[in-house]
Amino acid sequence: MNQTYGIAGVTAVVLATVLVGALGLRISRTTSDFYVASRSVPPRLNAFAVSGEYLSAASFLGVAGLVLAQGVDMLWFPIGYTAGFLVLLAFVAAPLRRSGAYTLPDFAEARLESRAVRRIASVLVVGVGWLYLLPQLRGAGLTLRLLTGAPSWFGGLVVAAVVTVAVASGGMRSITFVQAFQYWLKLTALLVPAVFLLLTWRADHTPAPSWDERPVFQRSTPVRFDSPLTLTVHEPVRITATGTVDGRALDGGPHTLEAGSHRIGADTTLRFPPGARVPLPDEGGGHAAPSSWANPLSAGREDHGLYATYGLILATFLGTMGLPHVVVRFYTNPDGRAARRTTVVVLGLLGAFYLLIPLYGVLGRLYAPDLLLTGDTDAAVLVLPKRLIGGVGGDLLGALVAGGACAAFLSTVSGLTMSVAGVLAQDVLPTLGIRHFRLATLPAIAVPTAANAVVSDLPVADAVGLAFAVSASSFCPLLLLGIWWRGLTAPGAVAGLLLGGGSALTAVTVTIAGGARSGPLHTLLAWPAVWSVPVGFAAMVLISLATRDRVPASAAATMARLHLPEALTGGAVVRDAHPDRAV
Amino acid sequence: MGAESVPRREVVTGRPGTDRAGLPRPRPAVPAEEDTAVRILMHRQMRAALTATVLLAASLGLLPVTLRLLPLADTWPSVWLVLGVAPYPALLCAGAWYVRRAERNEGDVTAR
Repeated sequence: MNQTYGIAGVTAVVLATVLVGALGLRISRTTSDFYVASRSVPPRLNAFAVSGEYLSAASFLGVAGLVLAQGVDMLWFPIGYTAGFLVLLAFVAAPLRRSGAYTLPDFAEARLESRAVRRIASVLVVGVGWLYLLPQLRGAGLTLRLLTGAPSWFGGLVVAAVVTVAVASGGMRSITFVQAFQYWLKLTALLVPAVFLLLTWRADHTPAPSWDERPVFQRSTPVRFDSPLTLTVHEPVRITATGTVDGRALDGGPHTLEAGSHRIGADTTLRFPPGARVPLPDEGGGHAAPSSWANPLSAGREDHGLYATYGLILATFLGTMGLPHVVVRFYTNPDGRAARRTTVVVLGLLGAFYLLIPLYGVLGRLYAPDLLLTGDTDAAVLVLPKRLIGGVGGDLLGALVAGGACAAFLSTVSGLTMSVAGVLAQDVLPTLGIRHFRLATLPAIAVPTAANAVVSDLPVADAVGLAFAVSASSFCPLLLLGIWWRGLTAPGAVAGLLLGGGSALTAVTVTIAGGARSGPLHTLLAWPAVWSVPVGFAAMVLISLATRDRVPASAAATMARLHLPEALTGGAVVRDAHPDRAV
Repeated sequence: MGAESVPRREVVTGRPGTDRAGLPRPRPAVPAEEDTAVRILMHRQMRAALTATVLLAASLGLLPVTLRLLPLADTWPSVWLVLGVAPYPALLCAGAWYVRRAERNEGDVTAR
């Protein structure tokens, strides 16, 4: 990719974000009251903002990469990301808005009148936030590496630093206009190149991709290896090579790779002819081995595929409602009804975006199969425009896509950092006091940044799946039972959060740390939702039944406030519960 | 950002003062009449929510098994349309239906 264009694209996105942010401030000021206006964001605008914040690097880059590597099964990721909002809409949206809760710990304490539940919910919010931040930083590192050649951990560090400064200075306050703008930017950044990619594909007589056999290079393709790698060739292939192959220095001349194992040195470029099968890197062939081959779904696609798919479905369908940066945005709706309407629009917006994703995965399989070789499958979306279209047009479209990816991780990282820092400042480090919010920004992003540098081989979309699993096992039972069942007690909620959320968190930590590499145990731990969600629900219900005398006295009043339209409950009082909070 | 004249935005993470509950205390008691109304409304809303989600979860939830059992799974591009296109309009329709239903349920309560 031409670096100048890509860097220009990213810079343009950052500048445009700042500009729209400033504009948004000005508009909010000229409308009625600056602060009250923030709680009367119209549903459509708020839906743009929710979608803008929600569509992360995992959606923008990760899913297409997984489709490239593993095929159609990976489309369950975007289906789940969207369906999660339907569950949120049906069971949570309006009551959560009516509760007046700003964060999940707020909701837990208000519903159950228990500081203990609040504290546990806070710890889980931080856990989910960190897990979700990890892949965003990875996506950021990948994008910046492709653009500038800087090492991945460095890119993550740069984004972390930028977001820390922005959030701590209040500059990237999750302004509705910025997030809304970024939704349209992301959609455009996928839609416009997609049109040209489709035309090119048609001109190429629409070859069909295949996932049953190893992919074939459609065109003469140069593959660059930054670090040494051993790969296995099954049939002899004539290539041109610059660099080191099997210890021999080559300088661009033709070379035949015989069937068997070959050692490719660092900084080597091999050019494969059209029609050649893509060789595969050897298992355990050093740190350059493609992450996707080591990931849970592919590990046992035949043996555990169904289990993994259902784990994914459960986690995403039920986990969306517990994502801290999503919950905060519902607070900006004027009332419960607007919260519902916002969510329906979000369903449409996410659908429109995710319709484009399979296209990039399929075209990536056809035209960028070398990413399987270098392990950068997450980069499929970024490299395709330049690959297929070429010339200045390809460069410009490439810059557009890079800008979109930048918008994806900037919006999600800043939103998550805000949420995590808020909870850290208020609940986990209370000795610091609320005024020390800025201090809390540091641990909020430093921990996932450090983890990102240590854990290097986790595909972006998979890590997001883990965050969803923890959320589904803890916050989903808390919200569903808290909103729809009067019998929920504080001890029940504590037990459910600890057993459901705790076990999922443990499983996820073991997976990320590489505790179980393969086999049924690995699958069980990598997709915990199938067992941890029932555990969370069962613990909450059973312990609540056992502690029936501890049902909060205010349960009936709370239920009335959660479910009755604001007009009947004096909603204005609830609405003005936080005159001090600008969103 | 930018304009200096804009009032500085404060990062606020909680309510000032001693009450950290973050929410106004609910009214202590609910009249029996209102409580009954709430129960009826909750029941109806629950039914609407379950209709929207269970129908969809059942159809989507059975897809992995169906695709595994049917030879459709290997044909290009039908399976891509089933997983890549079809779910999104269905989700949007289910959501829109639910919102209409839920607002009607609430209208019934308000009208009483």
